[in-house]
Amino acid sequence: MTMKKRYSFGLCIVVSFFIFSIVTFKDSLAPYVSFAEAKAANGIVQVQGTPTNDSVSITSDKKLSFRLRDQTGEEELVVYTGAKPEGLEYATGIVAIGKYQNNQFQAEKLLVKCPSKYQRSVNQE
Amino acid sequence: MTAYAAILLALIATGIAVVLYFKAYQAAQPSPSSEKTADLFYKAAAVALVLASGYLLSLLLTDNFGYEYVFSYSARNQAFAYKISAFWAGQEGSFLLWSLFHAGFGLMLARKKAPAAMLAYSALQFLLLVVLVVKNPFRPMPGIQPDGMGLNPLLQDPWMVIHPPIVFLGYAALAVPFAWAIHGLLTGRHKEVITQALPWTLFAWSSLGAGIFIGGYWAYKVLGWGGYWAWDPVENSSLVPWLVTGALLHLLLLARVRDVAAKYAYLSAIINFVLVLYGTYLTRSGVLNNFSTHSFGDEGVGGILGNVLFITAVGGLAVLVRCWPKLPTGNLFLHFKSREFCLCITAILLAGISILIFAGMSTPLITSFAGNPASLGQSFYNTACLPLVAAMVLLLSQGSLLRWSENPGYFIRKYWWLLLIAIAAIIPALTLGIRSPFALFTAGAALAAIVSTVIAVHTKVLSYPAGLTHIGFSVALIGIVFSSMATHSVVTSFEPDVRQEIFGKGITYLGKQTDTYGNGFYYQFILDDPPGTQLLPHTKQHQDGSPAVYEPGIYRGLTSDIYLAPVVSESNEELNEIALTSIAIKDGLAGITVRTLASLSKPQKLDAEISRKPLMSLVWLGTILVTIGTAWAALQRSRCTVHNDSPSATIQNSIPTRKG
Repeated sequence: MTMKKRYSFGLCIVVSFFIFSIVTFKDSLAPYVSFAEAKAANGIVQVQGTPTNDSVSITSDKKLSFRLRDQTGEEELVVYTGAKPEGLEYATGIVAIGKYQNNQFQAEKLLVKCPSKYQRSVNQE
Repeated sequence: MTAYAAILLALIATGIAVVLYFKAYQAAQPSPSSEKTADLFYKAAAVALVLASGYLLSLLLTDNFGYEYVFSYSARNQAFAYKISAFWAGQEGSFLLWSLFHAGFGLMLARKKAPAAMLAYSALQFLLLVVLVVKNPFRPMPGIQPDGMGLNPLLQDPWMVIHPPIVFLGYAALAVPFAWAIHGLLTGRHKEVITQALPWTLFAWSSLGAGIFIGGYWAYKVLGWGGYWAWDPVENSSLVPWLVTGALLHLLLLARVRDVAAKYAYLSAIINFVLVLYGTYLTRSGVLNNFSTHSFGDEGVGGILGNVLFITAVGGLAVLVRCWPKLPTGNLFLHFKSREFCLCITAILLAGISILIFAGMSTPLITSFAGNPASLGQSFYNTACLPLVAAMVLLLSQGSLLRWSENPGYFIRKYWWLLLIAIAAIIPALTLGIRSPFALFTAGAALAAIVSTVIAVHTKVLSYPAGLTHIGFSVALIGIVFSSMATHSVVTSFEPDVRQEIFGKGITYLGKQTDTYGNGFYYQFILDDPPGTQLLPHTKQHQDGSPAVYEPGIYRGLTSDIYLAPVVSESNEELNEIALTSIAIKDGLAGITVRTLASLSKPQKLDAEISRKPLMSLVWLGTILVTIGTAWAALQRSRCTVHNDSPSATIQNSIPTRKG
């Protein structure tokens, strides 16, 4: 190959990779929404809210479930597969990332904000 | 108050040093008197920081809860190691530690008599100290405090003793290549800069890498942190500088033979330290509070950190732009089939991965500014980075064998059999169910890269430390591909004392046991093979008995790990017996303290998720090899800067003579 051809070949690879990463980026973007919006959304979204007291339980098919009240006040059942994140019962806020399907929010990932985590306890008193 | 005065003194002395180093840089003759005075002020600042740090340590060790920092992160009954760790548990202490390391490295840099480098370095120190003055670790605690709040149980882990200091060691060391880059830009003494910056770049790479790997190892054994790597902003904010350091290193190596590479090395060195500050800003200003499981909450430091970041970025890049036209020009490489070309591509690929991760970790911030906050799923990082990683190992499998300058044409024909080796890794990957073409390619190329690196070291094309690092990198990649793509999990109910066969392993649940050392309990499982192996998922508790940390039970095997995580529901816990520990009557109100006695409860059914993670051992082995390799290289290169001061001689030595 001539020098020029090699450079064009390299450029093609770079451009196609750039397009590939933009597409991947768009697919992975999870906007913050309310439950109402989550029901209408197609892809992965995240809902921020507070867990309802004492609603944490394990379903018959061994999934973790709890009720989450989003910032508009709407409450929905959130189901999560996997081990329970630490401090879930004491969480002051939860971000559930996933999809709304079959009348429940199926979370792939949970972010748990507990009062103690990394933050000094003095500030919360 | 005295200790705070020491920090103020350090700030003032550093400020004076900055001005004097600037005068020394402007002076015509070498080693002007202003440089000597500047050194004195710089040393004074370092001494003040040592005193302040020593004072904070003594406050922690003597349980002086009259200070807010001690009250917040330590407690009387806290283990000695965690009293020390409390030093870097909070923002104030960790900034003090960072400044201390920074000042220590500065003393070593001052011996090189390079005022322009010291000018940049002490300016960075000044900015760090401004943060420390705002985030004063010596704020008094109002009232009389009999005991402190104690270190978060999540952080009461042996790794807490070394993980943060090693990361800060890396951050502090990265300021040295930044300073040398400014020196090179201002003075044009590129050869000197390359020789001096190399060992520091390697040292920073080694310690930051070790910090990241230890963090991964720690996260692997805590549930809820998403395994050894979760692309969390806190993880990313140290990974990006680590990747850019890799690019910087390869550019510096290239700059020894191709002068033009120096300018790209300067660019990476400057951007790299700006990225360190950017990561610090992202994770400590509270801007990511709703996006990260690890980051600090907002503690009113965001504004000042944002300013420090802005000043460093603008200052560094302004010098770069101003001096850019004076920098060497020419071709980065003359032949495609040469080591020069490979070094270029390595730097480009590492920079590419860094840009992707940077874009990902910045998404929450940028989308928040745009008014519609969004975060990015892990899938982006995995999918977008994988092709670049694949390209990098392919390069590693071929490029390791290339010498400087042109290589003979029969090269590919000579090493065609590396392809067969690649297939030897792809077949087991396929049988384990890995289908992603890039992942299969990465695993195959990584195995080929190990073999070609061994040949390269044997034929003296590559040095031992470089070879070890490249092998470690490839080994870790094979481990990462297998463990992340071929992990299988099941959720099962365990009846006490009933053996179950899962993933070909007999597992029996024995029951719950209290933790005799700390506050918490274990679930006890045993494996049939190897006989007597215990899996002990651990729940650490707060003082009041509420669970704080869940740790899985892990059996670390050569070929695969068994990872057991209990799925615990509230109702299960409530059946535990409780014991009355104290009743206090005060002002007519009775306060009753109870404690759950887990060991007394009868064994019950327990649900647990069991995963088999293949080749995890390779992830850890690879990271250990990378750390040793880079540390070894740093040691070798640091000898070069002492014994071989003639830059041209160093260059000549570095080019291996070609065999015919």
